[in-house]
Amino acid sequence: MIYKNSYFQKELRHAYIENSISSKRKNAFAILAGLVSFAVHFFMRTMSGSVLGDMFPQFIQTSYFSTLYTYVTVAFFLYVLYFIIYYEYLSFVEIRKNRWYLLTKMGYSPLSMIFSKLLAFLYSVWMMYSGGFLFTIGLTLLIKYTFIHEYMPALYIAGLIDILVIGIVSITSSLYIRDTKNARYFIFIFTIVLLVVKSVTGYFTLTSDRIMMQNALNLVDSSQAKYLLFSAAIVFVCTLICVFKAQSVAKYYNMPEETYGYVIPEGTSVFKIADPAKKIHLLTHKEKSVASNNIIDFAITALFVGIICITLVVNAFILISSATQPGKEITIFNVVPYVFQSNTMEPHIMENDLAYFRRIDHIEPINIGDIVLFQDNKVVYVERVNAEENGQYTVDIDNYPPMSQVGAMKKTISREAIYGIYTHRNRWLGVLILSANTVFGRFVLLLVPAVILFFYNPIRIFVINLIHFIRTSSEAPD
Amino acid sequence: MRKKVLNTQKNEQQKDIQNVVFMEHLSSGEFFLKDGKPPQPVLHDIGLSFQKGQVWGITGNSLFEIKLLAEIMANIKPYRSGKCVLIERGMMRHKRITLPHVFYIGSSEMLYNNMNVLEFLMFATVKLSGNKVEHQERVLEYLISIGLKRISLTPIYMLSREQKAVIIMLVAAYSESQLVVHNFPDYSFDDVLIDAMQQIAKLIIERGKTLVIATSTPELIEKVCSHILFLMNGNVFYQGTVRDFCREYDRIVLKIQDSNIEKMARTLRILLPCYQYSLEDNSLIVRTDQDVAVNPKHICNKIVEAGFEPARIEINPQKVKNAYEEIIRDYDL
Repeated sequence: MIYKNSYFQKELRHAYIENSISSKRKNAFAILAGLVSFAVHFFMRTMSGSVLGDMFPQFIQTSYFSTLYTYVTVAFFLYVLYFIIYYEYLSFVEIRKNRWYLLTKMGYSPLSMIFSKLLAFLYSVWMMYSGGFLFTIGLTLLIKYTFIHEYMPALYIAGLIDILVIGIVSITSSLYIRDTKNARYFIFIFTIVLLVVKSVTGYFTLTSDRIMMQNALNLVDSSQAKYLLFSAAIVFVCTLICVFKAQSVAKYYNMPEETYGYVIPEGTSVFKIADPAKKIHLLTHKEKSVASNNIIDFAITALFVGIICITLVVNAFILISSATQPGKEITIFNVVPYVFQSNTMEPHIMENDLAYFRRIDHIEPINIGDIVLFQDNKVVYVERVNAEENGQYTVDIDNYPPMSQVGAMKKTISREAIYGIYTHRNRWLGVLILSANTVFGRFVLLLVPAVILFFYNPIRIFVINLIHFIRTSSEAPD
Repeated sequence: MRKKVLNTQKNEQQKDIQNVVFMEHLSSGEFFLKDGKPPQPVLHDIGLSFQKGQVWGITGNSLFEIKLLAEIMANIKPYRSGKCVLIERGMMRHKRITLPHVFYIGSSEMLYNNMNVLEFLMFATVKLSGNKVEHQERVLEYLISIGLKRISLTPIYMLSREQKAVIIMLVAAYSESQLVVHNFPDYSFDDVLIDAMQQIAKLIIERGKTLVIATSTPELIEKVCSHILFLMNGNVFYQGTVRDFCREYDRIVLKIQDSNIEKMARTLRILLPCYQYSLEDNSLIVRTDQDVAVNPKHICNKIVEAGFEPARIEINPQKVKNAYEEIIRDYDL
C-alpha cells in the first residue's frame, strides 16, 4: 500500500486508523444517531399519557416532526459527546502538541492546514448529520406516519447549526486552553450555557412548534428568537479567531506543561525572572490544598452514596407500586400508592399520575367532596363523594368522556365499602413508574447505581477535576 | 512571494557555515532557590562552540540543567544574559519563535497517533519532491536497515515515548534545518533504539547538519556522539571529543577477579604504588592518575611475578559510562 495522505485526508480520518478517510465509521455514527433517536421516540411514545406528553409533545406525536425533532435533539448531545471524546483529533490541540511545528519544518503551510482542518470539520459534520437525518426519515417511512415535508428543511438547518456552534467553539477553545482535560470540561459547560441561551431566547419554543417550523425563514426572524443571530455571530467570530490565532500559535514552539518534579533536587524551588517586567514566576508546582481536596472528596462520596440510596429506594418503591393492583393494594406507612391510569377524575387526578390514598378504618368520618377509594362487587373504584344519607354515600366520577352517558358511574355505597381517602398526587413520580415499567426505564434505573458503584473512581475524579476547573477559571487573572 | 522567502532561507542555509552553535557567558533566566541560600542561576557563564557536522551529547549531573541548555540552544526558552549565536545568526533573547534553521525535538507527542510509523513518515515527507512509490520503498528499507522493521507498521499510539522520539529524529533528518536538537534527558533508550539513533545520526551528518542530543544515557553518547558537553552545577565542566573525555576521566585500567583479591591488592600497592587500588563488587579495580603512562601488560606481568594466578583480568575499554561514574564519585555528585 502506498501512503499518499494529504493533510485534508488526515483530518477526515479523525481518530480512526482503519481506513483512509473513515467514511464507514462516519456512516456508522450517522446510523447510530438515527437508531438512538428512534429508540428515544418510541420510549417517549409509551409516556404519551403522562406529564411528559404534556410538557414535550414535540417528541411524542405520531409525525415526521416528532421523529426528526428527536433526531435533532439526540444528534446534538451525541455530537457534544463526540467532540469531547475526539477533542484531540478535531481541535487545534495538535498545534499545542507541536505537531504543526514538525509539519511546518517539513514544508506544510499553517494557513492551508487551518483551512483544511475547518473544511474537513464542516464536511465530516455535514456528512454524518445529513446521513443520520436521511436515515431517520427512512425509518419513519417504515412506520407509515403521514409524510409532511414542509418542516424538514427548518429542522435540518436548526440541528446542523447547533452542531456547528458546539464544534467551532470546541475547536477555538483549543487555541486558548492548554490542558486537554480542562478543554473537555469547557465544552461540557458551554453546552449547558448554550441550552440555557436557547431556552431564554425562546428558540426551544420556536423549534418545537411544528406550525412555525413549516417556514424555515422563521428561524432567522429575530422577533421570534434571537438565537440564530447569536449562533451565527459565534460561528463567524470563532472562524476568524481560528484563522488568525492558529497562525499566531503555530509560529511558536509550545512548551508542554512544566513538570519539573522529576529533575529538580529535593528542597529546591525553581523560579524564572521574566524581563522586561521583572516578574518572578515560580515554576515548581505549588502544594495543592489537601484540606480543600478532602472536603470535595467527602462531599462527592456523600453525593454518590445519596444517589445510590435514592435510586435503590426508588427501585423498591417502583416495584411495590407496580405490584399494587385493585384489591391487593400494598400499604406503605398507611398510604396506598396508585398509578392512576384513567382520566375519570381529571382535572383533579390526571392520567398516569401517582395518586396517594390514606387507608382509613370504618369509623373515620368522610366529608362531602372527598375523593375515596372503595370496593363494589369486588371491583375497586375511585370516585368523589357527592352526598351522604343515613350512612349511605353517593359517589360519582368528575369527568365523563365525550359521547358517554353522564351519571352512568354514579353509585350509592355503604361506609364499610370505603377504605381510602385521596390525599395528593405526583405527576413526575407517575411518569417515573410508567417509564420504569418499560424495558428502557428498568434498565436505566438498575444501571445508575451499578454504574456509580463500578465507575466510582473515574466519576469521582471527573467531578473533582470539573470543580477544580471551574474554580481555577474563576480565579484566573486577566 | 512565499517561494521567494523559502528560497532565500534555503540559500542562507546552504552557505558554508561552520560555527553552528556559539555561546558566551550565557546565564539562564531560571534560578534555583534553596532554603537559606541566595538564588542561583540554573545555568551561568556558559561558553561553548559546536561546529558543523558534529554530533554533540549534552549531559551532566542535573536533568534540569541539561534540558534547559538544549532548550535555550534551540531558542525555545529565553536566556537572561550573555550571547548565543545559532548558525552565525544572533538569537532574539526573549522569544521562543520557531527558527527555520533549528529542528527542536522536545516532546514525543509530535506524531499523529492515528497513523502507523511508515504512514506518518510518508505523510511528514510528502512535500519532498520525487516519486512517492520509490520514496516509500526507500523509507521502508531504511527503517529495516536501522533495525526498526518491527515497528515500521505499528500504529503510533502503540509506541513507547522513546520509540516516538527516534521516529521524530528520523523526520528531522529529512528536514532542511541545519541544527537538530534532540532533548530527552529523562528518557532511557534501549540498545535497539541507540543503534537506530546511531544510523540516523550518520544520515543527519551526511545531509550536512549538526546534531545535539541532550541525554543522561552514557551508552547513547558513547555510540552516537562525536563530542560531549558535561554540565556540572550549572556550568560547563567539560567540552570536547568523546574519546578525550573518556581518556581524561575514565581512569580504570584493569578489573581483576580472584579468590585472594585483598592480598593481591596489598601486594600491588607495594609493587606498583603509582596506581590506585580499590575493591568493588569482589573485584580489584586498578586506576591511574592522568599523568601516569598506562601499561596494562606491565601490571599483569607484576601480578604473575608476585605468584598470583587471577581468575579473570579485564582490560577496561574506556567508556563514557565509567568516566561519568568517576566524575560522580570524585565530585560527590
